[in-house]
Amino acid sequence: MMDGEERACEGPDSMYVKLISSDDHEFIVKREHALVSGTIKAMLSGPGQIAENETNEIKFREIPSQVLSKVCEYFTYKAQHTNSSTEVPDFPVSPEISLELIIAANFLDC
Amino acid sequence: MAEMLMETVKRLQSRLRDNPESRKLLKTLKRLRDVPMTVDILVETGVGKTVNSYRKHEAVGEAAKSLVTKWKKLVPQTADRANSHVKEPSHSHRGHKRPREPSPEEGGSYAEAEERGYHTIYSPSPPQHKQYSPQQEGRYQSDQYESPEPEPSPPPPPPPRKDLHHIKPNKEPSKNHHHKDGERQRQQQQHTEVRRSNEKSREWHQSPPQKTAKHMKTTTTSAHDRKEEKKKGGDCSEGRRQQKETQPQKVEDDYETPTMSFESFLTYDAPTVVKKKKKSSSQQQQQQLPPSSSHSRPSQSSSSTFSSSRGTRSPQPSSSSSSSKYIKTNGSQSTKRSHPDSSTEALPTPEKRRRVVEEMPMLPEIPLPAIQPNYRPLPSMDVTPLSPQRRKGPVCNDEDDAGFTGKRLNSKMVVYSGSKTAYLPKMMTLYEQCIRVLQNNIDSIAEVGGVPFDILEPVLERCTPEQLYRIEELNQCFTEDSNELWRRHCQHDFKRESRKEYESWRELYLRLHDEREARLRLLTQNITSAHANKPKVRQAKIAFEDSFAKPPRDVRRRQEKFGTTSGSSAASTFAACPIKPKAAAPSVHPAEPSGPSSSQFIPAPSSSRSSGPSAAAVGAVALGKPQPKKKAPMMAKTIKAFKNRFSRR
Repeated sequence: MMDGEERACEGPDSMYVKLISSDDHEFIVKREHALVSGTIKAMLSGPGQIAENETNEIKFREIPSQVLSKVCEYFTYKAQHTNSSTEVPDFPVSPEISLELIIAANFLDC
Repeated sequence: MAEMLMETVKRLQSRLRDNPESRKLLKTLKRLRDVPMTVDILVETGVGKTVNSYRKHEAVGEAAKSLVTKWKKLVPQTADRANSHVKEPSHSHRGHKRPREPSPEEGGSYAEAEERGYHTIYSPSPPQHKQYSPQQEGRYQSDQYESPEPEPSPPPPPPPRKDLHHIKPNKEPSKNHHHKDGERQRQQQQHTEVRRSNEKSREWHQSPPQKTAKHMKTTTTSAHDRKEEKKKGGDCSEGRRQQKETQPQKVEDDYETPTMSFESFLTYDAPTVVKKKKKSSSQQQQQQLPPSSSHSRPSQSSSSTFSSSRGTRSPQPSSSSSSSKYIKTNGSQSTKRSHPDSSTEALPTPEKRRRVVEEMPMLPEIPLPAIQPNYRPLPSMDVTPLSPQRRKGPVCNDEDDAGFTGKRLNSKMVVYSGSKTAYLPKMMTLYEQCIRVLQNNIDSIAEVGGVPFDILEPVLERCTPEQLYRIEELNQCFTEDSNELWRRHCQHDFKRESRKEYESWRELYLRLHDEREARLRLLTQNITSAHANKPKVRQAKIAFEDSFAKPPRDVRRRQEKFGTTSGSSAASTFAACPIKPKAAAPSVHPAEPSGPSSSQFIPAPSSSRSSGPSAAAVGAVALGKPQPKKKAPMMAKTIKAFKNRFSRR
């Protein structure tokens, strides 16, 4: 599974991208999900040759893993409810991580 | 089967005709009675007429009458038709293919012949025929309309409103002489009905009640005249009759008229139920009554009754019997009365009224609502208890206006099931989600960490001054940027103040806030001191702090008797109040020092209890609950209730 995903991360058109937290947790998410974040989108597809373009990996030195995991959750949440006609439930955010999360959200522009 | 019946009936009918012997007639009549008669048979054979011809027979007259009546009930229309058939043979003009047809023809011919006029009039109204048949028979025999009125010539039954349209006034005319009502009805009907009907009614008039030939003549002529008078709107005129005869449509009308007349006969007594016109006419009749009729008073009452019972009359053929009586009486009078042939429906003839008056018994003048074919009960009172308002949704006032519980007419309110924040109208970004969470937990924000002020600004905007101050204290970096926020607070709280030089809004606010606090404190002190100096009017003190209150003598006796002394000892107290050992303990405390002797502790728990739930008097420390040391059974209940009340806090 990992191999497949790693391979999937290879190449510029891979389906998955890897997000690495400050504490070296790797979160592999679908590319399209990650592109919800404007920052990630810019990193991955922006002009110029960024290392991320090739490896499809992004390292976040400021974002701890618990926050980054929550961010990935948000990606899924957003993808699920974006075009849904039903009422969208709240995205659960615990107050304890809200401050850090807000920093990450602000950084990631999502 | 039907053919067999037909054969049987025909056979019996021929027997009737051929055998004048009473015995055999009776037999035959009995057989006929047993035969399950149908409309078709009656029409085909005309047996009704045959039987009717024996109405006057001395021996079989009764049987014949009853049989005819029975058949009439069975098939009123057909019977009339049959009767018309019966009449037809006796009259030359008969011979119409359809029973109805002859009526116009008959009417025409009858115009010349009074007697015939009667017949024709009757023929078109089979129902009338039925009843008239016996009379008609008599007439036939006498070639005049004797006024036997044995049976009430059913006045043109006030046809049901709908029928009125179709029904021609023919029926009415026949009875008009007899019954003013019929005339009235007729008139009314005439107004409403087609000309043809009017013509027919005229004919009916011509064939007025069969009182006597003389009457007939007079009536016919008068009817004639009246009819013409009555028919103003285009009917009336002899030509009409002829037109009627020629017009095939008449057949239909005739077809219907018989029914009408029958019904009108049945209900001739009652005021014609010709829809509203009748009413108006009846009303007018009422008005006219006083001046016109000698029986002004009774007529009025009768008219009122008529108008009231109008609705009832038409649907009640059973009133025919009663009406018959009236008809008889009316018959005698009808001759005297002239048919008001006012075409206007509103002109009830006063004579009719008179007739009616005399006929109808005096009824109490109770204005009943006219019975309408489309009865709509009064709309029920719509109780409009407000439906429980949704907590989340806006109040919908349309419910009240609509007077219908639970129904939202114009509500555009979107009702959310569940909490409001459960579902968001749009997708919020992660940032917004976090802001939302933080806003909901402002008090939990302590050190923000490295979060810049800008990011948290939406959160801080929602802070109260106190919260803002606290956060600033914890996060000094915010102080620099929060000036705007403080400005807002100042404007909100201290509108009139202005800041001094070099004073930030924050400082200004803090200063003003402190000043205000100081002022409040001062005021509070002044008030408390002022109060302290005043003599206390009312004070709640704990009675019997050291000892137990002494209960009244009888209470004490009872306490000793039943051992219900409270507070006498800790044990007894606990025993009495097992529920509240804790509560009782403090109450017991003061008692304990006094000593647990019952004689000493004449606790007045009962009295104190009865006096009030507050246990202060008992010496129990007020825990906000009544703490009686002894629990009388009734008191226990009360205490329980009080417990519940207080425990809810």
